[in-house]
Amino acid sequence: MAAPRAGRVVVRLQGVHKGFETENGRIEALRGIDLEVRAGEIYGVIGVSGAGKSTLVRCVNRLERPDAGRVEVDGVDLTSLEGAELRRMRQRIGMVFQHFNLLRSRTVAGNVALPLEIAGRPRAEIRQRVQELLEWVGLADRWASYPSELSGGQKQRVGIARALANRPRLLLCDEPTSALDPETTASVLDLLKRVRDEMGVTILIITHQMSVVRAICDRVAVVEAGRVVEEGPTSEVLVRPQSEAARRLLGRSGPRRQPLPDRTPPPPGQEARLVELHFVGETAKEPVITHLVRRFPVMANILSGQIDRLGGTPFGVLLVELTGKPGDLERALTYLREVGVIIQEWHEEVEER
Amino acid sequence: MIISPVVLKLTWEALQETLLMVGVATVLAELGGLPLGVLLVTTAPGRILASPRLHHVLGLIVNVGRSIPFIILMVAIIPFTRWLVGTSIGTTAAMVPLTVAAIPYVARLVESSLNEVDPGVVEAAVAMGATPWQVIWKVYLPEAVPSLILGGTITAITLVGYSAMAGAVGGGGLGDLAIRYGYQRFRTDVMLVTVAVLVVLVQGIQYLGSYWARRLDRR
Repeated sequence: MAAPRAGRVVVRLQGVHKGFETENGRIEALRGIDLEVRAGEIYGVIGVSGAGKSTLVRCVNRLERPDAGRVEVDGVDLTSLEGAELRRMRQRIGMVFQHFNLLRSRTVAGNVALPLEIAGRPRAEIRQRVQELLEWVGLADRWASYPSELSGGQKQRVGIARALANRPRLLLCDEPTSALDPETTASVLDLLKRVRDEMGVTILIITHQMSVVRAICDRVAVVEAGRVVEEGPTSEVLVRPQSEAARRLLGRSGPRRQPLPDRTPPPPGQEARLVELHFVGETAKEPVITHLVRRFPVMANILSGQIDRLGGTPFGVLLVELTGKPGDLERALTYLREVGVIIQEWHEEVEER
Repeated sequence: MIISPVVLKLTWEALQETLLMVGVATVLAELGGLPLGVLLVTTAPGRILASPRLHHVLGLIVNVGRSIPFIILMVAIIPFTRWLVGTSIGTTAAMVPLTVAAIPYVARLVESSLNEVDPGVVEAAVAMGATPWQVIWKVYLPEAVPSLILGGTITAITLVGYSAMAGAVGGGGLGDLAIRYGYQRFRTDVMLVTVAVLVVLVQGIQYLGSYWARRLDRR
């Protein structure tokens, strides 16, 4: 499910610093951010509020001017752009906001038309493009409604349609689902996924919700106190969080803190291995454990487990004790890795945490 | 009490003068005050045309304009009025000080209306690559329309009050009628009729303004 890593770099941040003067002195929002987002991927930036992630995304279209460092989009350094050049660049970058930021004086169609008017497109083209976009986000019948007549989810669909109007190759999303209920969140995330899959738009998404990262991000950066403290493919970060910040965001000291049930010692000649199995995406839909015990002479004893279904993407963690001959165990684990399960071995000292 | 046809005729003429003075002065003051209000908002720190010095100077001019009592302003700018319309007496002449006094007033009202516009919406337009001009025409002004109409209503009603003082330069109008006939000649009937007409006029302006603003409000 991960996008090809070979894609060219669309967004590159190098050593980005940004501070603000406040009544209580200077706040360093970003303290040297390095980041690369590649074409066609959905890249998540996660952190608690105040971590600087919003400032980060606002540096990418220069709503904020970095104090130091470089911000490149499509190889162009935005920090040196001014006036018309900067505005032309911004027209090529879509942005979706937490609070939608729709004009209440304009209809749905009028809101989607705004970026096209700003770009100076001819009237006929605007009408056609607006129609096309509204059909695409499923709001063609609401074109004449005002934002005040729409639900939160519908407003965000309009926001997404508007952000795509000028056919950007990059979409910035600042907490796009934080003002929505869980059900609506899932449908908006599905829509964003379609933006990438069907239009090939690269997406940089800012969130404080691990569920958002889990649902759609290919890669994720964890931001804390203005720094990237951890970065990598989503599955890696979810399974083996290296930073305290990531673990806190995962809220997953989960099964580790639960006392393990008493286990019977393995029969002679056999061995028991305690493994944590992580299922992400498609593998979570397969009856992997059933296949495992049918194909290999091993026993699988499920000690604890949790399955999330977020944004239509299942994500599961099982703590399993596998019992069998050492060779069979190895083959079983190899099989699990082959079908895409991420395995973390348990050691007794881990239990003590 | 019987109101004589003469009083009615005087009142009718005075009403027409008031409507003319207030109407023209409101329109001209909006034309002058609107750009000033837009500049006050957009040159503020952190805004699309941020220029702290210009913002400061404009604010100072507006405050000075608003500090001068209308009756003093009217007399003080008589040379300007005479230069502009050729006379300093009459309804047309009264429009000049009314407009000049209302411009800084309108500027502040426009400023407060535009400051109510959601900063997020302005930011969205900036993120789309809009020029400051586009942000003003496509976001600030349309988003503030209901509030701007209510502000214009307040201006018009304030000018009805100011126009009473325009009698001092022979400007005519309902206020002038009330002072000269009703007060100075002890004509209680004239006083009552003019006050009644003024009440109806102010009510009417407020009703129209509120109705129009509500019709256009998409909140």
